[in-house]
Amino acid sequence: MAEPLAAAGAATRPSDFSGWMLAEQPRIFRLCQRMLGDSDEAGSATQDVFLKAYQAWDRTAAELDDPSRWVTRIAVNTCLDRLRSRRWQFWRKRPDGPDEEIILAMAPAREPDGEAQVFAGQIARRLAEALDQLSPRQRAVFTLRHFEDYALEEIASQLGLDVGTVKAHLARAIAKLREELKDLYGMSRGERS
Amino acid sequence: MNDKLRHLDDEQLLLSLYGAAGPEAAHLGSCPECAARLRRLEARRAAWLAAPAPPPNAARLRDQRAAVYAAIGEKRNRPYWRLIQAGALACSVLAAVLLYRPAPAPVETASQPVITDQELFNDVADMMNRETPIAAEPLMALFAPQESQESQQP
Repeated sequence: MAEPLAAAGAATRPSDFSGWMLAEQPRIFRLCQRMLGDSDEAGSATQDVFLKAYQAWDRTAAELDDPSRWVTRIAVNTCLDRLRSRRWQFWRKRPDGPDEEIILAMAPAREPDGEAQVFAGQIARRLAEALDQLSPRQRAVFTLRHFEDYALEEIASQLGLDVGTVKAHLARAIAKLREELKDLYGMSRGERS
Repeated sequence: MNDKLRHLDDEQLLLSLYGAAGPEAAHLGSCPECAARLRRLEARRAAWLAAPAPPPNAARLRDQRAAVYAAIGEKRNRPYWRLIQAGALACSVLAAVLLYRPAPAPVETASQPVITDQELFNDVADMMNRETPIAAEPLMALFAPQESQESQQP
């Protein structure tokens, strides 16, 4: 699907930016959805991410070993900025609940039967709501580890933290999520021993 | 001792699953039951990660790209405005510098002769008493030599 930047009068830019954006956009949008829990805001964040990437494209792209990693870092930082600024937006209307796209982004793999799908959808809805209770850092760490399957060292590099701090954020995030979702778990098995 | 025998709880297992477990994870090496639970979790997680994620709404993605292209076009056109803005700013700064630069130090001038009130009064009185205005004196001077020459003739 050709969407040349020439349409925007940007014919002098590297011609592969469009193709690169086309390939990365679904992943970045999904990451933003999972980090922000709001599809509209995730869309706006995704636009910001690619605009920032475009502005740095000329001077950065040639030196990049891994443009995917680079754009992921931009996305994570963009989402962190938005999550932090939310704290001050007390007037901001909270959505009634996670929208369908967010639930799809959170949902586990498609379950074979209808009942399991419904159950998975409910879990995903609850998870999306519970993620809202995390701090921005905890949310970023959990999202990158759980959904994106990044190694702890990679998360530390993306967020500019040391691995120990990433582990601490992850442990707090898991504890908080378990507290929020405890009715879905039942009793802890450790209590048996 | 008790800690080593105690089974890992769900939270510790999850931390082990994510590679963030503490020293209590050593229990996994000696407890087949907990190790089996962790393997089940790992298998479930691997299946979840391997499953293709549902693609985001294509129309939404297209709109996002259109917005990015529009913003890029806007940014590309903006330098002209930026030049104008920069020029206006430079002119303002220049005007401010010119208007607010310190006034030049007063130049010392030769002191004017001071005229006393009496001298001024005398000058005015003299001017008023003159029969011929001072301005006409040069004109009158043209005739003065002739008069003197005639007066010298016998």
